[in-house]
Amino acid sequence: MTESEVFKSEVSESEILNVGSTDETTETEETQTRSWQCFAASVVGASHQRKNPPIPNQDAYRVKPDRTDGIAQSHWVLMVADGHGSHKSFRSADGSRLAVDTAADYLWECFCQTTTGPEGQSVEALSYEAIYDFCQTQLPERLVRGWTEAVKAHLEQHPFTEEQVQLLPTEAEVKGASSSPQSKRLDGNQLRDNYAYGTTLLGVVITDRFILYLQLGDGDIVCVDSTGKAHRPFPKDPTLIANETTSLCLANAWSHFRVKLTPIYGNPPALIFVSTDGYSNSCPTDEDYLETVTDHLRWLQEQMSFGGSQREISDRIEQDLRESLSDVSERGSGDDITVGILATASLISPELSSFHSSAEEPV
Amino acid sequence: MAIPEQPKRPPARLASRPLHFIWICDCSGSMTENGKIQALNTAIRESIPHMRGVASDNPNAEVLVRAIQFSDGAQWHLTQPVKIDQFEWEDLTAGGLTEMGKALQLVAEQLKMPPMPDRALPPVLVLLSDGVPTDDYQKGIDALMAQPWGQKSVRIAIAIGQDAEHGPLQNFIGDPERQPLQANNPEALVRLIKWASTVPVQAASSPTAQTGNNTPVVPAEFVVPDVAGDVNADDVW
Repeated sequence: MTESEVFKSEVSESEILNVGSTDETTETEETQTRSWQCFAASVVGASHQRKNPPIPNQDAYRVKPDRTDGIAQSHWVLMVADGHGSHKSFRSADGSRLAVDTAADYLWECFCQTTTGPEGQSVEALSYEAIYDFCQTQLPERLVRGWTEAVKAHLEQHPFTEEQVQLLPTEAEVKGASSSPQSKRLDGNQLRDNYAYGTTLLGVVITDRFILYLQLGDGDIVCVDSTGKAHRPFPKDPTLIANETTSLCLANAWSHFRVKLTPIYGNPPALIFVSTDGYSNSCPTDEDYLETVTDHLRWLQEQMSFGGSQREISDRIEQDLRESLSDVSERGSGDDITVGILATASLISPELSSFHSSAEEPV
Repeated sequence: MAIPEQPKRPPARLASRPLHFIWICDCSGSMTENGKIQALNTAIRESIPHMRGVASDNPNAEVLVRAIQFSDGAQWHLTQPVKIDQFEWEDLTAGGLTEMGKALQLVAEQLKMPPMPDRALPPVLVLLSDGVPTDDYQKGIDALMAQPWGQKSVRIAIAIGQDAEHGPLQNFIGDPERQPLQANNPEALVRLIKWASTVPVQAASSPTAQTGNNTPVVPAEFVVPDVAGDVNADDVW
C-alpha cells in the first residue's frame, strides 16, 4: 500500500452525504435503544502448548468499559492483537498486550467520553465528516505512536539482554523494509527495538453514532446481520499468506492500517466478530469460517435464554468460548486464538434492551 | 423435572493447515550413469519414515506430497497430493534431456490460488539435478516467482555430482545466503534428502508470523547439513 492510499476512503461519498443529510430526529430515534453485549476470550495455541517449554499466549485483547457485569452498553471498544512469536519478535506477547491497552485507552477517550476527543474537542461537538477525516488521516499515526511510546517505556523498565540484542534485525534490514520518506526519518534503533515487540492490531469502536473498524495485519472482522448474512468490513488481503503479515513494528506501520467508519442507521450488524488468524486458518474454507461465525448468533441467543443473572450468563459464555477456542486450535491451526464478539443486545435477548436505561452511561 | 441442556458451542468444520511438499526430480539420460537414479529412488524411499515422524510431531500441519520428473518435457510423477502417512514412492526411470524450466512451470500452475488456499503453510520445493538445463529454465523460475505462493515457498536445491551446474539451482533458491547442497555419492544424497524432507517441513509447519517484504520464507532454524566429510575418495559422481 502506498502512503497516499491510506487516506483512501472505504466509505463511499454517497454514504457520507446520506449521513450529512440524515434528519437529526431520525438518527436519534434509531440509535436511542441500541445497546450491545461484549464477550471475549483467548487461548494458547495447541502447537505452542506442545513445545518444551510451552510458549505463552502471544495474543491479547482488551475491552472497554472494563467491567459491566454482563450489562449491555451503548459504547464499546474491543481490541485484539496477535504477537508474531518469531525469533526476532521475542517480546511479542508484551507487544500485543501494549498494543491493545494503548489503543483501547486512546480510542475510549477519543470516541466514548464527552470531555475528551479528537484534537481536544468533544467528539459530540464534531460532525460525522470531521470524525471521518480524523479517522482516515490521523488516527493510524496516533495508534502507532502510542504503541511505540509504550514499547519504549517497557524497554526502559526491561532492557534487552546481550543475547536478545543479537536476535534483533540490523538497522539496514528494518530501514530497508520501506523506502518511504517517513521511515528514513525514524530512529533506526527504535525500529529495531520495535521488531522484538511485533504484533498485529484489529478491533472495533461502537458509539451511539457510528461503528469504527480498524485493522493492521492479519486476522478477521466479520459482521453478521439479523438474518444471519455475513460480510467483512475489509476484504481479505491477498498478500497476507504464508504467515506473513504487516505489523505495528514496521517502519511505515501507519500506512498499512485499514480504517472504516460507518454511521449507525438503517440495519447495523447484529453481531461483530473479531478474531486472530488462528481461527480462520483452522477452517478448511472461508465459507466454513463465515458459517461458524454466523452460528455464534444462534448460540448467543440460546445462551441468553438458558437463564441466570447477567453476570452469570456473561461468565458462562466466555468460559464456553474459551473451551471452544481450545478445541478449534487443537483440531485446526494449532495457533493462539483470540475472539471478541459484540452483539446487539435486543437481537440476542429481547428483554435485555430494557437494561440499557439503567446501564452505565459513558462519562 | 428434566434439567435443561446447556446450549452447545457452535460447531465448526476444522482442519489442520495443508503443507505441500513437492519433489522436482531430474530424470535426464545422465542420471542413468553410476546409479544416480537408483540412489535417488532409494534416498527418497528411505526418507519417508523420517518425514512421517516430523509430520506426526506437528499434527496441525497436514503434509501432502507430490513429485514431478523432467527429462524430455516434464510431467507429474505423482499427480495428486498424497498425505504423508499414505505416501509410497514409485521408482523413477531416466533418459532424455534436462527440461527443468518446464517442470518449474508445472509447479507454478499448482501454486496458483486456487488451487492453493490462502490458509496453507509455506510449500516446500526440493529440486534435484545432475546437469545443465536444456530449456529456458529461467522462464520456469519466473513463472514460479510470479505466484505469491512461489515467492513464499521454501526452496531447496540439491546438485547431484560435480557436473551439476549450480547457476540454475542458485537462481531457483533465489537467496544468495543459501547455496545448493552438493551430493557426490549415494550416502551424501541420502543424508541431504533426509534433511530436505524433514527440517524444512518442521520449520514450515510453525504458525509463527513473519513480517517481510516478499522475501522467501527462510526458517530461522535452518542449519544446512555439512557433507564436506563426504567429499572424498568415495565420490562416484
